[in-house]
Amino acid sequence: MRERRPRPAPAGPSGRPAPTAPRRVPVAVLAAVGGAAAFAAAVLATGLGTVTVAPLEVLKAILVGLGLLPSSAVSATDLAIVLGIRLPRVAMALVAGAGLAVSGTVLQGVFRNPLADPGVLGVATGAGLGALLAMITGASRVLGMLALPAFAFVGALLAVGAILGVSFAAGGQGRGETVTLILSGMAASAIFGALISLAVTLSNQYQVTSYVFWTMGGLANRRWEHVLVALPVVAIATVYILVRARDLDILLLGDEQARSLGVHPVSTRVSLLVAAALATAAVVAMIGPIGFVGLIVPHILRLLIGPAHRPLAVAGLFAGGVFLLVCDLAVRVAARTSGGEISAGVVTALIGGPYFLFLLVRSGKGRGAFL
Amino acid sequence: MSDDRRGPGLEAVPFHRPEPEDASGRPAAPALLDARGVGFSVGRGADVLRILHDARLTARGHEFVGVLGPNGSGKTTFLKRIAGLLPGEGEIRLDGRDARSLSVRERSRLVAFLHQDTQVPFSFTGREVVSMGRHPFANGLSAAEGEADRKAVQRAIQDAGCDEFADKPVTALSAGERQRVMLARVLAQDTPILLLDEPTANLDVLHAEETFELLRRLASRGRCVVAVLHDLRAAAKHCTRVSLMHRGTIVADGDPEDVLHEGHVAFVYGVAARTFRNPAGEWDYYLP
Repeated sequence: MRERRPRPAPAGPSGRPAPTAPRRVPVAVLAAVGGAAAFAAAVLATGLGTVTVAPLEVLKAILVGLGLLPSSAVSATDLAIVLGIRLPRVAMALVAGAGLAVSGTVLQGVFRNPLADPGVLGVATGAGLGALLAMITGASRVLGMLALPAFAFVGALLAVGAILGVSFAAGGQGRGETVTLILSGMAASAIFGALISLAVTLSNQYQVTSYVFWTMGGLANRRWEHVLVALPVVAIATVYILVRARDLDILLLGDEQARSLGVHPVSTRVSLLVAAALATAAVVAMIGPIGFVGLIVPHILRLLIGPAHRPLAVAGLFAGGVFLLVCDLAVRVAARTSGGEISAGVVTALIGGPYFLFLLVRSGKGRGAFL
Repeated sequence: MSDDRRGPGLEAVPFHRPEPEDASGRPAAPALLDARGVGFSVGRGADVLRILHDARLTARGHEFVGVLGPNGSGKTTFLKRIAGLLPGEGEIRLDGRDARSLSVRERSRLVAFLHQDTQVPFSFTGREVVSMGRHPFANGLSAAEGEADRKAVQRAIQDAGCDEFADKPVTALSAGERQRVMLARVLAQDTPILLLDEPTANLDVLHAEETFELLRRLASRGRCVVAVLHDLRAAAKHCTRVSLMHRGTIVADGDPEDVLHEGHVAFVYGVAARTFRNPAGEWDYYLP
């Protein structure tokens, strides 16, 4: 063996010293911190409103709701406000934000592109079309609350299938070139949007009203039954995504690399997309299309904790939930002064839209795409 | 197989096969890798293009086989066929088992494959990429890696000489550094068979030499190492055996200095090379 010569310090492609990677935080720590933050945010948000309820009273009311305290521990008004009105809305915001963020994490990973998001790719619009069809065909009256997510899931799958198909046809083998992805997402959104307009035109006044109410609704008037439909679906999709998260990491090395590491690329990609579509559909069916949560949250988290998908999905659950909760809180506070309430989707779009454009400009300069 | 594809002069190339015994003269272990009649085509009907046909390669533990040949002779395709990354005809046995009967996961514990270039779209650190090499041994949900995995990853990082930048994002590394990270990823996979596609393509002269010595060491400890190479000198110096590819098939196979004689080099590469012993006593060549 020759003796080793001293080597120069490693440098990046441009000759500057390579930047250091963000610290890797254990999944358990992320879950603990995220859970605590989400819980604290939920208690504070529940207390805020026209009538302010102190955090302690909110906690007591939650304990009453869980049957751990007698109902005499809290005043009847506070109990009604917390358990009947605000907490379901807060819980819905947490579940919806979590579902959208996890879904966005998977879409960005599968398409190897940080610009992917259920809204950008038309998955949310597809789910919206499905939900509308559930309303106007009367399926939602026959099948009840479950018809909406079921139909929305079919619509979301159609959108995912279309984008995968376009990506394959364009020679991307199911991976997403930025231009192909965004253009096919735009096309899918436009087609589903046109079909929505057509269906609305052909349906009667009552159905139109309920559809408009649904799209504009955001998180207003969401009740426990909405939470109970979305929560299990988002939970199942999330568990599956967490189990396969490591496979998704490996898929980023490329299909052949994944195969040589024992990961089946096509089945991994398709099953993860189905899980992402499921989570998106459950959320969209309950609160209408809300964009950009799935884009911003995973993207910022990737900068903070690195790109490995299991920590990213765990952190995304809580960060997505808290993000949507805060957006909805802004809506509620604004409603108190203006009188009329806007959708939380308006806030997420006002924040997410410019952020998306910023990312697009950066990736055009060849920097952002590889974050 | 049409005869015109082979061209004239093939008869002049002796097909040498080494005796199946290791350096100390004992009978060698059964072949870890046995590929026969391997083919691959693209297109269909009249436009079919045969990239690989009737290629064969047998390799045992303790062997470091260099696969040489001009651009487009099918070296990478052959390696990918052996690794099961491409479909096609041929009988391939890995560690005595029919490759078609192996699951993707079983195969990943037998064969590791190093690609020419790997682009990673997100900023994983080198260590994270190397630890992906342990995936074939992961069982289901266990998020945390075991002590054995961490040790294997650390050893691979040291062997491939990437300790200095193992904790930097791979997106910020140079092509050569990234290639060493990928080599470490392959080493972490800890397989009996290593298939490497131009493992030294982006490396400077020092790191190329270190990589060759590492591969030779791995072979001497019992691995079966097969590498696509372009550097004839390095192949002659380090490989225990060389296979020469031409127009999609193996045309010569054996001891480096037998295979890399002037006639073969002229026939396969189309250059009138002269071979000689350089001052270090090694096989060498020049182009007059």
